Amino acid sequence: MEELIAIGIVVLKAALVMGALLNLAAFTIWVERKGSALIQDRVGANRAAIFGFDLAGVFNTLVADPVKALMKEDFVPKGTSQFLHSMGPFMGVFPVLVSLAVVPFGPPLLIGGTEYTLQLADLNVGVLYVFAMGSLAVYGVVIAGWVSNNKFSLFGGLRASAQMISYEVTMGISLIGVIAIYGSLQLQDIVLAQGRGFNPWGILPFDLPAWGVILNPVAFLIFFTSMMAETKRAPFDLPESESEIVAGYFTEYSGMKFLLYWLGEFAEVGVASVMVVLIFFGGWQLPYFNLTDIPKDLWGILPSWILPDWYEQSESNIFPALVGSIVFGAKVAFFCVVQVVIRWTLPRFRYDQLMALCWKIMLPISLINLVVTVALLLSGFYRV
Amino acid sequence: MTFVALLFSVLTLLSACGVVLSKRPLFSALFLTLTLFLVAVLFALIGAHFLAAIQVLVYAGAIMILVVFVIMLLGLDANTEEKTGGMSSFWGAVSAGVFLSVLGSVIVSGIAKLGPVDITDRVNGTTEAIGKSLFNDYLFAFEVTSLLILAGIVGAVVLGFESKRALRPGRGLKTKRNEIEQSVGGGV
Repeated sequence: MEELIAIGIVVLKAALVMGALLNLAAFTIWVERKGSALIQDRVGANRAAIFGFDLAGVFNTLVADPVKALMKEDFVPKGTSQFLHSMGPFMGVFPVLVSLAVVPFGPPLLIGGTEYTLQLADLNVGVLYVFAMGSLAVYGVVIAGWVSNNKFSLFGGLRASAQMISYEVTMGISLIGVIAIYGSLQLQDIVLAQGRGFNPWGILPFDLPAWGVILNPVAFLIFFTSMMAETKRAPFDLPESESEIVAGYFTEYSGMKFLLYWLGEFAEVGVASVMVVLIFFGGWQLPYFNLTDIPKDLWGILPSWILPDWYEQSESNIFPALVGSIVFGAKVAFFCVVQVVIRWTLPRFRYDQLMALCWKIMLPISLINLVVTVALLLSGFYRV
Repeated sequence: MTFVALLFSVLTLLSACGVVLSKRPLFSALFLTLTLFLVAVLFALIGAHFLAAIQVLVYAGAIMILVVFVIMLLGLDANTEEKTGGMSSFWGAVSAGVFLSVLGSVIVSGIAKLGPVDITDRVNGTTEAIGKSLFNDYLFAFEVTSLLILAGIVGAVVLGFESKRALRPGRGLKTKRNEIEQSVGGGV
């Protein structure tokens, strides 16, 4: 019986994480539609309102997109492997969806004296697992470029593989310094370490929150840029640049398969936001406030009939977990919106500029930053 | 646990056979990727999480992508002419013979140690444990390997400069270079 409950809890957490990511992707799609219209000074998605409520259009578009995609003809180009053509979208989406298995989205939930961690799997190699899965996502793109039997698709696939491998290098190197500061690859440890105070050599009159972005702002800039390049969206959308190579790697995809690539792209935006928040913006922590200090009755704000009797009598506290998850979700949503704004603000790079930015600018900066960070770490700068 | 390990061992062997038996180079490369991924699963099953993550990150995620990249760039496919007979068969037989003799000697020398393995016997594969053994027990080998990789990188850079010099105007190769540049969008 206990085993069954344990399995049930894991399944519940998996459904929660997966559902949250998919809904986040859908939410970002809607934000992108409305946001792009706002940025380009036009009225966008204006037929999606329900009874005149514009914001309710979020549900409407989310249903309309899959229905439209499912009704479309599923086109498979001739003279190629049909099996691989169908596998492409899955190989693109699967690694993105499973990469959030190690993400802690809140402090432990205390119910009846038992603590339930809000994390699917606390792997010892946490961060590495996310990057290992992220590095597999490129296969969906490369396969699509190859099996489409189309020059433009092939160009898109080639560009994508070169771009994603290049930016993985700067992404990894920029993170080494931060991981050295926190001394762990486990994401829950990294988040907990960011709840402490940071006072360089003890010269400041007050403590700063020990968030990654304060400890190492250069690493944050490089990491965020690399993550945006990994999502293959403007200004890094060379693999699908429509003014040069039609639609790049998914030129020959239609219907639901195309929608899967689309979903994967927005899920990647979500994963990028999650990683930035976890490593550089304190995860579920709030600055200068310890979430685990929230009392089990929320300082008596709530009317007494809301909380059931068993909750008040047993050793339970759901509020740190609840508030933590909300804080985490808000931060992630914020960075999704930031990425949408960047995508609609900056023009596309030229291909040589893209490679020069990675290898000639960001790689040297991230290497110097790593050396400086380690030197500061040894000098006691980061002692908290 | 044993069942899962057996299942993944069989899958690994099957996909390894796929590497050799596929007619098309791209399918071979994809089977190799799958094999490396499944080996990572086997690592994870015995508790070597760090090795599993690095295996996927480096081999499946980076090196195999480069292999696929080259296959796509050269446009290798099933209808590429197979070179059979003559010198290539001879060298193929020689290298296969060397490989088989090495493999055979390993099997012969190790056969005495073979026995039932307890799959549930988990190793300490945490990042800390790997780091400690790398920088204490195997420090010399580790540093020598890094020198080897450095030499490889310097060699690649030198070769890159050489080919650039050879591709200067008037050498007849410029058009070829332009073709390559156009096909990948310039400046790779």
